[in-house]
Amino acid sequence: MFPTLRRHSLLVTAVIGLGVVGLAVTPARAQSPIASFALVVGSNAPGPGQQELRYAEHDAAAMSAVLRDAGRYPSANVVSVLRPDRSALLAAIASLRERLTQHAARGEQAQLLFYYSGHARADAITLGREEIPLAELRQQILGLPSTLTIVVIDACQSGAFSRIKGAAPTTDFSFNSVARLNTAGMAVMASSSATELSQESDQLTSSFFTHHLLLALRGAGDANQDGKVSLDEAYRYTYNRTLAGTASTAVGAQHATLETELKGKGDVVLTRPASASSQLIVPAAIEGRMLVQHRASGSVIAELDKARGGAVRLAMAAGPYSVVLRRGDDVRACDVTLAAQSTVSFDLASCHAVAVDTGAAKGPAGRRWGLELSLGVMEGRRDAYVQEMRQFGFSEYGGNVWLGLSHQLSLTAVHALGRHLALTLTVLELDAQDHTRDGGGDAPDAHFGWSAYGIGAGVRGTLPLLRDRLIPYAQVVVGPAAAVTNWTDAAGTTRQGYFGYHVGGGAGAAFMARPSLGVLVQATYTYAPVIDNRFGQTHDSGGVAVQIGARHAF
Amino acid sequence: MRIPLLLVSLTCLSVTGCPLDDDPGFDDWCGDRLCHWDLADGDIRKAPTWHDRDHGVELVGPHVTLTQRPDIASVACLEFKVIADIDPAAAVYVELDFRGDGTSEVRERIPSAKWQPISFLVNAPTWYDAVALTIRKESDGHAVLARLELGDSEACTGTPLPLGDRPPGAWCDNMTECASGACAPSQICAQTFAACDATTPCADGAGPCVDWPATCR
Repeated sequence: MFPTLRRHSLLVTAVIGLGVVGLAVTPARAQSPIASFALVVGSNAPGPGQQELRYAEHDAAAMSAVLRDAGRYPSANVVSVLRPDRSALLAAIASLRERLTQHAARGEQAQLLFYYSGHARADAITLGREEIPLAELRQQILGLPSTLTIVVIDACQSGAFSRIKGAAPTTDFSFNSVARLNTAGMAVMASSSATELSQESDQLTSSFFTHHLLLALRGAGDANQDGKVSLDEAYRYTYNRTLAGTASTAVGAQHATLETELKGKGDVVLTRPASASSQLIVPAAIEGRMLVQHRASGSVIAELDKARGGAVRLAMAAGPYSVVLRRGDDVRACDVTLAAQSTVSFDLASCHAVAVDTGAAKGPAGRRWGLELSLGVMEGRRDAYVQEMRQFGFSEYGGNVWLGLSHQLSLTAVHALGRHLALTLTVLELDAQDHTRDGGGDAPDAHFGWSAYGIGAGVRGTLPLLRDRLIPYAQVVVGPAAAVTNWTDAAGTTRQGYFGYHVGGGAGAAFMARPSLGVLVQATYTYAPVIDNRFGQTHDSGGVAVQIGARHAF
Repeated sequence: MRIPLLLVSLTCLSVTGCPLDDDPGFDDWCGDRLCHWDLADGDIRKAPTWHDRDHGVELVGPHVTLTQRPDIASVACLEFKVIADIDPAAAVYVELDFRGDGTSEVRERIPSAKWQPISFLVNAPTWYDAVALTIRKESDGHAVLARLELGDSEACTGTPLPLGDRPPGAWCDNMTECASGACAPSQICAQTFAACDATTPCADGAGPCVDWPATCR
């Protein structure tokens, strides 16, 4: 997998600054209803000098859904703010404050989960062209009258966000399991340490951290299988899976962090998958690498390594899903439909075997770069320039392969922006010709020829098929071109250089025998007016070309 | 009896515009003069054409005469081709003298052009044994010629140019073409081309005595 950097900001000491709310929990209050609130913020918007994120808003939406489905948060209490500006986010916090104040006035407990997914820089979170300083955001969140506040930050160097006064960082803690909210205070889970970058994955269509956190909250993190996912369980699962998933990326390993300042006793329960309206149960006997994908949207809901010996319960929204289970070279695929208010057990016997494709999960979207070396022939243009040469006695055809054909060698670097779009950079030969004029009798012969070259940037559209084994594409390229002409006769050789441009388009297909290696065939047309003569006629060093080549994806 | 030798001294066998003149491209220079042309009058200089190194010849000044005697004889249809850059004010002519006596039987003006190919056909006399090719400029104005070719063609139509006063042994169609006024068919030995007739048979090994086209007596 080749992840993209999620947020590339410099260090952000984002002390979300969660103050201890300090509401004492007494047995007399234990029977009062616990109101769960969530403020879920996601923004792909880049700030100055930053790249647009791909999945931050998608992750925020997925978090909202999980909190409703598995966390049993009332829909009205899950406030989702996507791509907000500063005033919109502050307004959402203010609205939440009013509601929490009402609960506090009635003596009711309230649990708040604040989730942020987006850019951050220095000491502020970035909301497009605006920022909210961390100190201000801390004050805002700190001022919310909630019993328990859980903050989840998915941004670069977000571990720095979780510095809390007096708290010692820990990655391991346990609580006695209790059913009630007997714990007050705050906890901050961050996607990476204070010095690390957080990464997005095109394969997961999510950030590594949020994907695994959501999977944990759906039930994969229920280590003791009590039907509930605690903060501890969610963090352990997310930490391990995020670390494993990013260990082999170009950016490097990413370590989620958890900082707490909690008082009381008992687990902090985040979700209750056993109580979710729709569940998928993966039986204990099942083992292998499992991919669960929502068929309608294509979103990857879960990618997990299931070990034999323990069942996994996943709380998911009702709907149709595709499940692929791989055990070595054995790959099985199933369609699973979760009805509302239903529990479905994954039945391996109902799956069908599919051909092993080691690249299935790591297609072009996973391999972002490619290098293509192609060789072919190009038709030499017999335009007015060449016709003029013929008028002056030169041979009609001068290609260096045969008649008017010249060979064409090209080297292309490809960078995929997604499954269907790529940028290219190509260095290529344009046409090369050599024409001869017989002097006749005692008059000297003459030779005139040229070689032309171009370098171009392009855009390519691709349509991966057959599990990314066949990749048809179409592209356009434009860039500078140069040529050198040579005149040779009895008096010697004269060389002249010319500069121009070339523009072209083409179509082809790559056949990937392996995810990283394949062959390609393509046809192109190029227009390259580079060389001109004293009569003002310009030769088009382009033309139609057909090439075959090799492609290496990495 | 003098039997003419039929010489078709074509420099090549191509049927389409094969150059019969020397250095059709004006490529061969001896200093500031063309090696294969006589500059009888005026001045010339190299002039670039479509490429700096591909030269034509510029006829400098109001009077320029260039001549050449290509080694050809009795080619029936001649095609004259040239690429010309000639201003309208410049009067440039091509002349052909089929007797070599200084009198041109053909005189054609090369029209003004801007690096255009120009050609015309000459239905040559049925007999000639030498031709003088002359390029003559008779007025001021810009004139550059390139790729001047005198070639063999099969596209001529109409009657050949008349050419009288042919010497004995020259081909003839009627007695008016001969200086002697006599044009008669003859016979030759097939192997030796020696004259023969009923009273003078061919020697052993000289072949049979066969008919030969009419010649001037």
